[in-house]
Amino acid sequence: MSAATPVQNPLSLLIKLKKGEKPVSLVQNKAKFPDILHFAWTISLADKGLERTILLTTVYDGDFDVYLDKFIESNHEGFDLLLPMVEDGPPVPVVDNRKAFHDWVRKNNINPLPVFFSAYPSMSVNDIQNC
Amino acid sequence: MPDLPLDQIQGFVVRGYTHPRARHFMINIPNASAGKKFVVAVTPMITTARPWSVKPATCCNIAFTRDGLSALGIDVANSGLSIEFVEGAVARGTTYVNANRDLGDHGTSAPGNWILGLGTSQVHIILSLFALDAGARDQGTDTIASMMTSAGVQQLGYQDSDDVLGDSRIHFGYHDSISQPNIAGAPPRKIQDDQPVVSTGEFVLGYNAENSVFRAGPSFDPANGTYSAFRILKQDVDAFYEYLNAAAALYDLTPEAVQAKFCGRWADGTPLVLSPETPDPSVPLNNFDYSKDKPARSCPIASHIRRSQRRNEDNQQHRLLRRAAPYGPPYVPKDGIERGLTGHFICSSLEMQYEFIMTQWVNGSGVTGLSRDPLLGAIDDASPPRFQLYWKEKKSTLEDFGRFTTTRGGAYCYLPSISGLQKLST
Repeated sequence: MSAATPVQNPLSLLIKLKKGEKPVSLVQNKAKFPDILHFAWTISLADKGLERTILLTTVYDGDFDVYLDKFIESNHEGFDLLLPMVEDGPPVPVVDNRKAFHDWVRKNNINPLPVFFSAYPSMSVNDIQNC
Repeated sequence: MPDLPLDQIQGFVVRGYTHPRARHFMINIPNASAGKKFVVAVTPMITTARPWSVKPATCCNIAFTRDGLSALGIDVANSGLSIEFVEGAVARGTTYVNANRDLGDHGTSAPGNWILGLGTSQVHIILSLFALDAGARDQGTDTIASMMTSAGVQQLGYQDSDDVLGDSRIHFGYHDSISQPNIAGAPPRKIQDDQPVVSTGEFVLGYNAENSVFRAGPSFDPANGTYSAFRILKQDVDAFYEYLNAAAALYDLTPEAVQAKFCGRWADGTPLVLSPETPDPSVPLNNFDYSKDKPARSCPIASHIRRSQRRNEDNQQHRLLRRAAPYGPPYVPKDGIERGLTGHFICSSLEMQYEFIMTQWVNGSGVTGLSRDPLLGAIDDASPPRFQLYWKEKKSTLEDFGRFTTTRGGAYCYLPSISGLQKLST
């Protein structure tokens, strides 16, 4: 891997909740996360003029679709609870509707402007945990 | 656990034959009627998964490429076959190449350099003959040759493999084929291990795969068929052994230790996590996981076995049946003879299993972002080597080896059930 292209990638997913649903944190401490996920956090954009809207930000290793599949594996119960509360959310159970889930994430992901900075461009989660 | 109809499933899907000689025939079907005639003739020869009381002198299995199914009149794009099979090994290996989707078939490994018609639309059937000895293989060859002649199909060539060193020892020196998945519903493997049982549908279509996800077969063969990636992989044995010696001198290691760290096992198969400093014939070969070796000190995370079968570090959704064996004579330094490994890598989802392992773990950053698989990876200027190991508590980073394994041929195959085979012949 050349140092210019980090193995890590960002995901910035806009999630708009249906009317009447309250913003919740999508990042549960109890959830199991795949070992290609570095960081994940959510913020509410309600007081920035985007009502009922949450931004889920994660930093993961490698391929986008593989990451989503791994995320489905490790947290499908969480998605099955969340997605019915989402406006134009994909159908659940998510394990049986993978493609719809991938399409929905792709549509609502905000691609970053250049440049994505990484202080350790070749280190995956697994590399760090095995240092 | 499903009760598998063993007489419907091709034998090498659920069992390794251990016949030391194999011959893989590449066959072209000039027209549908010749192809069907050949399928009718060869069907009684096909070895099923039914248990045998006496080991047969030869076994035979059959695989079709998408061009082969098409030549037999199947509408491949509309028959419920998987997308990756319909697109084929060449398109999957070249169209999707980027940092995250590299199957490794580029440079000298590019399909344009492949042999025996592989990489073109000419290979329709790969017929694999397994034999106890060279005589039985030649006899089986005669039978198959006369079937091909009388049906009117054309042989493009064949690829042999010979397990001449015994115990499935490959030319890089390792005892191979130790770890194979335990398949739910299949007869137990001869050598038992404590590894988890994997859902039937991961290897046979028409059953549930992991997470109870049903894996459907194609419309003409809804159950008991499966897929494979057929591969001919050339191993640069001279470069490999030269590097083991060079690295040992340069980094104050032994050649055997470098060899072991690259693989995750000593050459005799001893797992590094169970015996990190020396081979030990008394330890079980496949009763281990990596839970006690994190951070990795005994078995590097970049080693071949730790990255291609992750045991406790991932789920059972990315497993492969490896039905491959070495080709070429026993190693003699610098004799100029090509050596390698050839055979079928069997799974019910080429995308989730074969391609996932190759693109995410062998050539990708899913396990380690530092470098690709030292034994199998597509290492080149764009993806230079960087292999970290600990030997007796000292860390070394090896950054001066090249690509040891190149692709000489590949094909995505459909392995029909016996009734599917009968369907294809009518």
